[in-house]
Amino acid sequence: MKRVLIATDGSDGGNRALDAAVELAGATHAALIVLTVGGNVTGADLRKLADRGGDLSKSLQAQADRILKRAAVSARRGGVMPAALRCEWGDAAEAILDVARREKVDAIVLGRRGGGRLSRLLMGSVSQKVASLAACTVVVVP
Amino acid sequence: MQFFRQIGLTFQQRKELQPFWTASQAVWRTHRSKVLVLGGFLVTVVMMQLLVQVLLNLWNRNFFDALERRDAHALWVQIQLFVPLAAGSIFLAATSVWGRMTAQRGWRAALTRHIIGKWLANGRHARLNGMMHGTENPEYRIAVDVRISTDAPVDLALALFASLVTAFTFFGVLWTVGGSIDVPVFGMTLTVPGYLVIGVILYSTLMSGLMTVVGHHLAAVIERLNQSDAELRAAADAFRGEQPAAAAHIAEGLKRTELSLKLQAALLWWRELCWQLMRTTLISHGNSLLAPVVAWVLCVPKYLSGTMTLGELTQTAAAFVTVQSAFNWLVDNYQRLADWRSSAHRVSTLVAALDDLGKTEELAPPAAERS
Repeated sequence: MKRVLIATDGSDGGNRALDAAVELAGATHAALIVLTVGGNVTGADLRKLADRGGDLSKSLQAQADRILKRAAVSARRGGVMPAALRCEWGDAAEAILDVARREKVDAIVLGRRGGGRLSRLLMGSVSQKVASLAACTVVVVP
Repeated sequence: MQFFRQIGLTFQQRKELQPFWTASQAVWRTHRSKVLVLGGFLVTVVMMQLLVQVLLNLWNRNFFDALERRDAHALWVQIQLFVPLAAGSIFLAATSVWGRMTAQRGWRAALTRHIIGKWLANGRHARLNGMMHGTENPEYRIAVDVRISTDAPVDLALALFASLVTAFTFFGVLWTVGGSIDVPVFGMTLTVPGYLVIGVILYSTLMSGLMTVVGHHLAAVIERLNQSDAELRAAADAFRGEQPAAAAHIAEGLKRTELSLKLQAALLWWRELCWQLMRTTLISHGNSLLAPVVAWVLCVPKYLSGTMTLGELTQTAAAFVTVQSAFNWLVDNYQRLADWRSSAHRVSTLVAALDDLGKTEELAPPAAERS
């Protein structure tokens, strides 16, 4: 195994997936690529931002940077220096599959939870979609 | 209140919108007589539409009175009267569309030519391209933002004028036909004069208050969505620039990420707009169902006591709904007002940038002129 992609949204599930990916990359001496797919904003946050006249793009970018920074610190603590930090926007599953293809990774690690019950019901979960469509090994951390 | 905040913001931003108004005034001055004739024509059409509306309201009363009396001859007369009234109303509606769109087309044509003249003078279009913040996509601003910023004020101003004169006129109908009502209070009789006028004011205040509570984020969300759409266009526009071959791959990757980010922001605002519109639709649709019923309920006691005929009942109920709709001008139009403000602001920044370039040229004439 040469390259491992970890996709995290900074949630508890994402952090557990990160720990597992760090362990996997450390054990196999693989390069770790950290990915976050930004754009997860609640309606309440949007309304607050609208009333303040804030810049959503900057907020999204800052949020994604924070997630990646924390993930990098966490990976270094686990003894693995991330080879790359990636940030993508849009549909999470499609973005993960796209980065996996471009980076030619051998394994994708991601958490099972994320998104609301309704969105999971309507659109299916990200992990299910990635597991079904990825051309490499997919590790879904519960 | 959010709706009044819309108007407040428009006035607060008058300095920012000044270049738009200055350019518009310049083009109005050159077509002064046409502007005055068209303006007068549109006001006349609104007043004639109001007259037909009042006549239709009276017709409503006479028709239902004849129905109540089972008077076949009077009913036949009313049906014959309805034909010219309906024809007049339809003709005036079509004439109003012609007048409004002619005014909008004239304003748009003159303002667009005015801005294009400034944009193309002394090769400013080349110097402006990507050099000054807030002037991205000048082609879009000239083609689309000028259209929106000249369309909306004509419609909004006429709708406001029509709402005001309609509300005041039908207040009269409610006051005179609705009259007063006697309310028994602790064994005494309290006479409430013009109770339908009080009723429509209270009902409209309640509906506007509800709309304010439910949709108080709407205007801000629309503005952010418009801004995000403009940023998305600017991000897509960045792909047109040529990069050196060595840096092209990296630059394209960065631009692609930026484009995805801007698209994500626009889509998130769109999602929020959907929620906001759903909330305000609950009130506006509820109001459209409730307003006629409230009018009937308010009139029914007088009808049952025999002090109001069926014709007067339908006339006052129709007048109640008309006044209530007129009161809703701002509620109905604040989305358009927010769209207009965004477009007028984008036109203003472009005009201001072109004027600044013009001033710089005055201080330092172009090379060709110097040689």
